[in-house]
Amino acid sequence: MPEWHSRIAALALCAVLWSCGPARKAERRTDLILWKNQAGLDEEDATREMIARFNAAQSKWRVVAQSLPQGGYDQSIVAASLADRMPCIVAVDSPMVASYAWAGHVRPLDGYVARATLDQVSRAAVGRYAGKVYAVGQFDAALAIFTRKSSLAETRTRVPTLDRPWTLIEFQTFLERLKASGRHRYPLDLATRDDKASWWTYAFSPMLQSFGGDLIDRRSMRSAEGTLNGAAARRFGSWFQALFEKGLVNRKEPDESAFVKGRAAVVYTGGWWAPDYRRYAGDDLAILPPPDFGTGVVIGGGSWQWAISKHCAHPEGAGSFINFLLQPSEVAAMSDRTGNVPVTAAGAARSRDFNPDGKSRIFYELMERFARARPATPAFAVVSNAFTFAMRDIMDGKDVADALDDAVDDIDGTIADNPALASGGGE
Amino acid sequence: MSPSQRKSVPLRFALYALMAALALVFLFPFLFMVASSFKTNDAIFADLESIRALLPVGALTADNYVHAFERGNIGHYMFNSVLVTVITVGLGLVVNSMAAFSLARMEWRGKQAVLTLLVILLVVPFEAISVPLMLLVSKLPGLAFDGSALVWTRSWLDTLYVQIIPFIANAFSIFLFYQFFRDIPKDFDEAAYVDGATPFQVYRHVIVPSSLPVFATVTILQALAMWNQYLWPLITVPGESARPLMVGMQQFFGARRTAWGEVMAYAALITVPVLIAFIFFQRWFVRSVIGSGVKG
Amino acid sequence: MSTASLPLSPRRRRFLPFLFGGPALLGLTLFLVLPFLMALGLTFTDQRLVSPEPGSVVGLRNYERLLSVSYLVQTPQPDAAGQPTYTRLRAITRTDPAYRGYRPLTQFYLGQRRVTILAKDPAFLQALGNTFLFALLVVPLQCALALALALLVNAGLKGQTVFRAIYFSPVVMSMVIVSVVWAFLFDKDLGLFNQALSAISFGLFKPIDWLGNSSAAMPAVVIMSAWQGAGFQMLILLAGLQGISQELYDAARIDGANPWQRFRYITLPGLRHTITFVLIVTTIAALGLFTQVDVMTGGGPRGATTTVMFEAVQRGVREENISYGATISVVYFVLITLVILLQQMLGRRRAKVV
Repeated sequence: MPEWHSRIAALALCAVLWSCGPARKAERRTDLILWKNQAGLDEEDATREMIARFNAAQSKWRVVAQSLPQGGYDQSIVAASLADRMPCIVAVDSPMVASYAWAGHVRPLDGYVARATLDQVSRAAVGRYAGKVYAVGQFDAALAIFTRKSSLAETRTRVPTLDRPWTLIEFQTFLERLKASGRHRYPLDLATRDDKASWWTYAFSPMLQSFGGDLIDRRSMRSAEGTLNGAAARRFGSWFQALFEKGLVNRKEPDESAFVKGRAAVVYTGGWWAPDYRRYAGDDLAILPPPDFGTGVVIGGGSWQWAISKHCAHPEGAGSFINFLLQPSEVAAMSDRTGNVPVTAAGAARSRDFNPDGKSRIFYELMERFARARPATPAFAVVSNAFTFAMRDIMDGKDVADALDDAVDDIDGTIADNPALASGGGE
Repeated sequence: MSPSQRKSVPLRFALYALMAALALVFLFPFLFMVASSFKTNDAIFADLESIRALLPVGALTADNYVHAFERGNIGHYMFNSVLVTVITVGLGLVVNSMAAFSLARMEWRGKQAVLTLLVILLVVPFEAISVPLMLLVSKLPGLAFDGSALVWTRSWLDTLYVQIIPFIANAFSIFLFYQFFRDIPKDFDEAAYVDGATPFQVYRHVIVPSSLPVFATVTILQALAMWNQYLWPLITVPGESARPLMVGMQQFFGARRTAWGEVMAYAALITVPVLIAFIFFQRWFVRSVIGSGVKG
Repeated sequence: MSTASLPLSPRRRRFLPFLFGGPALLGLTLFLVLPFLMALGLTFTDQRLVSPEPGSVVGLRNYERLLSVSYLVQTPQPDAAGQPTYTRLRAITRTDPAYRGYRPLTQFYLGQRRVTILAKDPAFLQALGNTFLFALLVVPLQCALALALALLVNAGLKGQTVFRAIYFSPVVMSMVIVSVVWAFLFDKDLGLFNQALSAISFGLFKPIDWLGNSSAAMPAVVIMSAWQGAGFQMLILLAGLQGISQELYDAARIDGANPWQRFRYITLPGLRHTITFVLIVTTIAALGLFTQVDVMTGGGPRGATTTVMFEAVQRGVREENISYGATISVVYFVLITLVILLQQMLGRRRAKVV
């Protein structure tokens, strides 16, 4: 037969042979498959090294890791669950823990991870649902206000501390004086360029909480009426809207480097930007707590956390891995490598950057004192989207009360359609 | 259009000028990508506000490319993408053109219905069927290589199958072939039949040689679609062994920070081969000299 | 239409088309038709993406939520200060059972009365309007551009292969990178568009906030989409141009036809089928617009750039309500199909698609 026929046949055969599933033969050790999200090269390296250390430290288990892109992560989990191909250890983004627990993808950590260990972990880094612990994070992140000391000085603004943060008025005055100086196009960068719900909810629901509102009533987890559209929430919405109306914040910065390039004087973002900002501003950099808008400073809490899948054949192996990574040495190693905030005091003490004299200590303290986890409800996807679209519409001029009412209706409507979603309450 | 030697010099100059102006309009993101692939993250953003964004100036470095190969595993992903693309497009050319032939050149009951159905199928957007298709393929059995032997797997997830088989039959390709075949005069067909040819021979020796442009077009467009596949493998191929290129690019988008330099380098490595292949395929775009001009 | 006579037995003649078309039809049925029917089935349930149990059947609830429209007429009442005011809309829709679940779509005044058109899913209806508007704007722009490019790169000039690749390159570029560059171009103060427009008009032109202004966001997306997709259509038109016999042009030239006449009487008729095809395909692609909006505007200011597929993905995947997302897809599909069938029936006398 013609040559190209045989070439195609050979290719097809190769294709058939190439398709391999993830099943692997176990050697003396038992393999534990682990799935995590892709979170940048540093974290990939650090995780790989941590797994190598775990594998070397004992001879019963071998953790084998797969890194998945974040974009389709949840859908990949669902697909794997349908095909009975769930990994043993799985990383879960903290707001999704309740969802996974409710759907039965993950099992409680009770009995697999030492109680004493869990008690030492910062509250927001533990993924709870309906009273049980389903996931725990090895690190967290902290939001802060970054600005220049010189900006504070020339606007005659007090330097806030963790014990004496700014009030709303002080913060507002600072911004308005910066705007009046004419040196900055839009003084404050809120990273509104990123229009994903994950950022908006993480960044702005803490402000809402600081004003006195919340995303949903955390005791019943059934309704957002009165919390998301109450008086406090409306005050927050109005203040937020005014920021854009007064030209204090740009609706959509063209890139992420407004602060670095001097277009903005203040930026509200997470500690992961600290190295860049230090390079840019040197000693002039000021890392400050966000303002207390009325009921205390609140920042977002809970990053990616580790959980054990329901169908894991060896949960005790998964548990020993999680116990391992919560050791102070491992917590410290991960934090120093990636810049993420350690979740235990012992881990922070051992870390190079987060110990009491370390240069990033403030992020640990911010997290420890002010971080609040997002509500542990299986309806979080709807809550987050509803809040985000409401805030984006408010930014674009929609009536605040209307926008918040619509968000509440979306959330309450979804839960009313699926009453089983109203679970996990009691916080 | 008239052959170039008959054009006057001023006309040619004007045309070239027009083409060049348009070229700049179409080329600038490509220039941005290539220039940025040689810069660090900071430099990319520093240059973004001016024309420097398009030019490889400043402190240039090849680090991004090094990372793409070392850390990015681009060789492996590229192999997967090439395999998926070649097989899907290759089989697709045969399957879809034959289907178009049966629609354009054969009479059979239900043909009109199928044609209308085909047009309607063009409308179905991928996002509409992605979840049900995922449910479907997660339960389909297949052969897999388990490191030492061929075994049955209960699911197509995490394989190359799932990236290939659902996409071989393609309504768009069939339609494109069909439109083109319709325009080929039937004289040659009839002559061949009179000489005793089978329909398959007519297909192979009359239709296909006259359709090189459309075959080239379908090849390019389908290959592009398969090469750029992102959403589907993102959810159905979580692992790394069967991962294609576009999914592999995601690793540079960190949870909060994006390594733009590496992204640009990776993207350049993906895009440039496609354009080179495109230029290569141009030689199939040969004007046909069919018939004596009886068209339409 | 002549029927090519097949010198085969009648039995074989019946089977042969299925041999030719069989594999393709099988593939399409299994991987396109079947999932779509599954999606259709989903629309009658309340299935969620992440859930402990399979969903239950809820009949037409999803459709009712998606498509219900109503209206409310209000007359002003004098308030405490004697000024005529209208009761706050949501005070009514959130309490009155007759209007439960409805949101405002548009409002207008008939004399003193305020008429509000209500809908249960105004975002979807807005997306529907946006999508059709987008298609209306982008199709002529993109196709005209593609035709112009195809003619240019088919003119026989040297080096045209390279130009073809250049015009095609946006199609190949990753959308993420394209959006980074265009977001910068569209920026109100730093963007090149505004700077160029300002320079051309000697400062008379006021900078437009392209992506932040509800009226400007859609045109911005149109421009970017036409730019990105023109190369794709150019390719198809190029193939069509190749199919026109050179002898026709030579004969016309000998007869003394000028370039415009050659274009009008040879090129255009020869391209008729191809142009129709390109128009249809561009329209269908425009109606399915998703990625550009997702990456550049996220639905745009106050929903100005949301599209049907964007809503489908937001509700279906991101909010995990896959049954509702499927409903959006099905309704959209039915709508387009009706349009196509209508075009088929009306266009019987002119160039038909099939």
